[in-house]
Amino acid sequence: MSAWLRFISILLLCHVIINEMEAATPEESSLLEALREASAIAYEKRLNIDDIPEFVTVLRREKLRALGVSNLFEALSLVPGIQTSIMQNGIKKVVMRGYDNPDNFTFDKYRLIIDEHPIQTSIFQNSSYYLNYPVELIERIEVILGPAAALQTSGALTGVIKVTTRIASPEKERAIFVEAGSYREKMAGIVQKFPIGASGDLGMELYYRRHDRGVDAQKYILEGTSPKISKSSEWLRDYTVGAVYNNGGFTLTARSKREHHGNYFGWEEHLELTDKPSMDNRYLYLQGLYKKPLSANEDFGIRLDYSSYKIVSDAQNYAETPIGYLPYTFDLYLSERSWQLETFLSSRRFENHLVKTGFYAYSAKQLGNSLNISFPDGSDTASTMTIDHPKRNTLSLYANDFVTITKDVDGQFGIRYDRLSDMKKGYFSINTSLLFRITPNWSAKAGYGHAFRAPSWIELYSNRLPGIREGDPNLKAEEADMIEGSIIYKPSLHAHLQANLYKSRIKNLLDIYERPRSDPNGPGYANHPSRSSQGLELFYRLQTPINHTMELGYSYNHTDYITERGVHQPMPGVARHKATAAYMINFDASLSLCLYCQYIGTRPVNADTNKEPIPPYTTIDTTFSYITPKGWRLFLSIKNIFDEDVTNLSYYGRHENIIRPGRTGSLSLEFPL
Amino acid sequence: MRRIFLFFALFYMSLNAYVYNDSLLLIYAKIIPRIMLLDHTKSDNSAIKKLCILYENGDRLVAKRLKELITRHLPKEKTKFSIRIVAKPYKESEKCDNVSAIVMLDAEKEKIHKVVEFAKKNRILTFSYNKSLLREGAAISLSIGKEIYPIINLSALKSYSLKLDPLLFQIAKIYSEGNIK
Repeated sequence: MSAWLRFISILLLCHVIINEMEAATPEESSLLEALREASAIAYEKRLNIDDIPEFVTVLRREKLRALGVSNLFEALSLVPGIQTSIMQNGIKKVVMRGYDNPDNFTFDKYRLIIDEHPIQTSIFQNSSYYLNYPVELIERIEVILGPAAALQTSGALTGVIKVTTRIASPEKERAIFVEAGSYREKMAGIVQKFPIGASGDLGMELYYRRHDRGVDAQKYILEGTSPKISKSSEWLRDYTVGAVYNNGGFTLTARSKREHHGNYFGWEEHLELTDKPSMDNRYLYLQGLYKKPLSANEDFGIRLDYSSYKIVSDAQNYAETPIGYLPYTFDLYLSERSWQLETFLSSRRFENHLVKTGFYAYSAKQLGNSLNISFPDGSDTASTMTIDHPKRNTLSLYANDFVTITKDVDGQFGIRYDRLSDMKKGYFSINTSLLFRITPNWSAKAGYGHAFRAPSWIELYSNRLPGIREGDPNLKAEEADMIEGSIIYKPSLHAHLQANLYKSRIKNLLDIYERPRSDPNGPGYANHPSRSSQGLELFYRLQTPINHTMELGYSYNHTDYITERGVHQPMPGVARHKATAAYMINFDASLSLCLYCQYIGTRPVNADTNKEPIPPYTTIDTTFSYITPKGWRLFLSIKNIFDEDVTNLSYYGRHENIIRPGRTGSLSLEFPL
Repeated sequence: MRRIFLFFALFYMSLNAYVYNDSLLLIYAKIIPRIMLLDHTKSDNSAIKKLCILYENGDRLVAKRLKELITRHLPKEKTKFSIRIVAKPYKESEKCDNVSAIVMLDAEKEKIHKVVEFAKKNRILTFSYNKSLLREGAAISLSIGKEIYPIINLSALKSYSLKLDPLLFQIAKIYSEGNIK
């Protein structure tokens, strides 16, 4: 017995000694905790995107400001694989990996997310009014090219643009910024954070931009008409006001965005009689978000969003009559409100797995719906744009597993199921990707994605009216599949080389063939044959030897398009080759200069129009930035310094191209508070 | 295109400043002092460990920022030592002879080599912001991936005759002969 007691005593003693040996000292515990915090910061700030399986590009405010970028739209044009353009009526287009609808301008194929709020409307499914959002209010932009619904949110057919604003980031941001530039451009804004109580803070943002831009538009004057203007009506009044309140796990956000601008070259590329007609988009959202750790391994979250969207469009056009062209106006008013509810649970309970599951519900209802057409003789037609009060309810379930398979292989497997009430059908979305760490400096990624986009109410339910394209309630959702591979070489923090290869296909593609309004049999929205896209993207960044940063980007894309007459051709308006080069010099920590060069190759036009392709162009921008000892930041930008001719695709093929402004300049200041 | 090349050539001039990421500086600021506390090389009983940040003239504000961040994120737990931080330009690196650790911001190789030799002679732990400086003889850097790990340059440690806490070797990646394992 005593032997047993001695044996147990020795065991206990050994246990105590081993425990004592293994117990971390305060210094050791402090380091382990700091490493955990650092890993969380790296993930939160997206510093380690080369070391996660997802394909993400991150743009940060500091770099965007140094490049002279002023808003979200300009920032996106930096990304290899994205091409941007402006349509004849001022709507901005972001084309991801070649998937454009050259005759169909209102429907995003990507999803824009602002601070965890997906901008989601069912009328137009368009978020171009947010693209003026200024860089000064942005912390970073994450871009995923390709189907990303299972990873982010439904409807992300060709990609996701995720914006994190300054007031939503944890940093104590306080600044006033002003800008003045060409075409009487004026911009001012403020971002401010106040501590509230022991653990809360309130962030507020306010921004306003206006300009009176216009380019020579003589050739857009319809023969026999006498407009009072000779320049395009590109004036802009744009503002955002927003607030974010944080306390513990609660976040309350309210943000209102308005973009009001002239109709540029007119809805049908005929210059309007005056510059009064306009397009006015307003989007308001309120979001309540609550995140709570349930245990050491589980986190729970719930978010409830309310949003309201309104578009008021006053336009003027010309009707062809035996006595000549007769001007008429059409006033469109559409509005909707929607609710989004999402609950999610993330768990690290299983070793090497981070599992995120969630439930999502979306409910949208159209409220305003009117279309009035007025002729000078007093004959008016009052109607509605679509059938009365369409509704859409979506219920979704999703699950994502971020798994460490081996020391050198990570994976991400995601699936999402969305059921849409008006489509009376459910759709699966899939995202899966793998990361291989070949060596400490080399890694490779491979992935597959599948997503869908349901038709908008305009595509489904537009009434048959003169000048209005008819909807088709039997349309199917378009569905995209993509495979992608990437190789990354990152020998140090200062050098990075990445090459992406992809191939994708969209089936049941939603599009329209434009015909003259006089054609009574003009086709409406329809599901078109599949289109495929393939390409290559290269990106190289080097900071060497001292103080120089060079970034080179190149993308090649070939996307199929079939004209109404059945001609197979590359996508109209999309360049096969795009190249960018940025060169930044930091003379010291306070003074820097950046040169940015962009080449857009020849862009094909619709073969049915027998027009010449759009010629290539190369623009060079330069930006000086200076930080005063008090922390004031001054940026002087000259864009397109050689006044190169920049043109976009003519929507109706009426004119050679849509002309864009040449050289412009701006001076902006940011004062820390 | 000729104009483009002309522009790029015109501005290709050499001055002294690098580009730093503020979030990365924050990560370094959290890790560096905690590794310093696990350096058992000098067994003196001084309650203060000194850290010296070396910078190129153009990076003065970066060094100041790193100093602020380290000061703000010093360990709050009760530890054996407190840490004091100074920032000096590379040309004054000899003034860091009584410190426990040196942080080397980016600089020309010659300056790095000079500091490495100085650190070996005085048995001072060296940290580099850029992991490529491990090749030049820096003792510790960080691996920024899915997880953050210290990277220890084994041959440098031996030549510095440094004694680090065994925990560091358990959690760190090892740099040896140009490879990180």
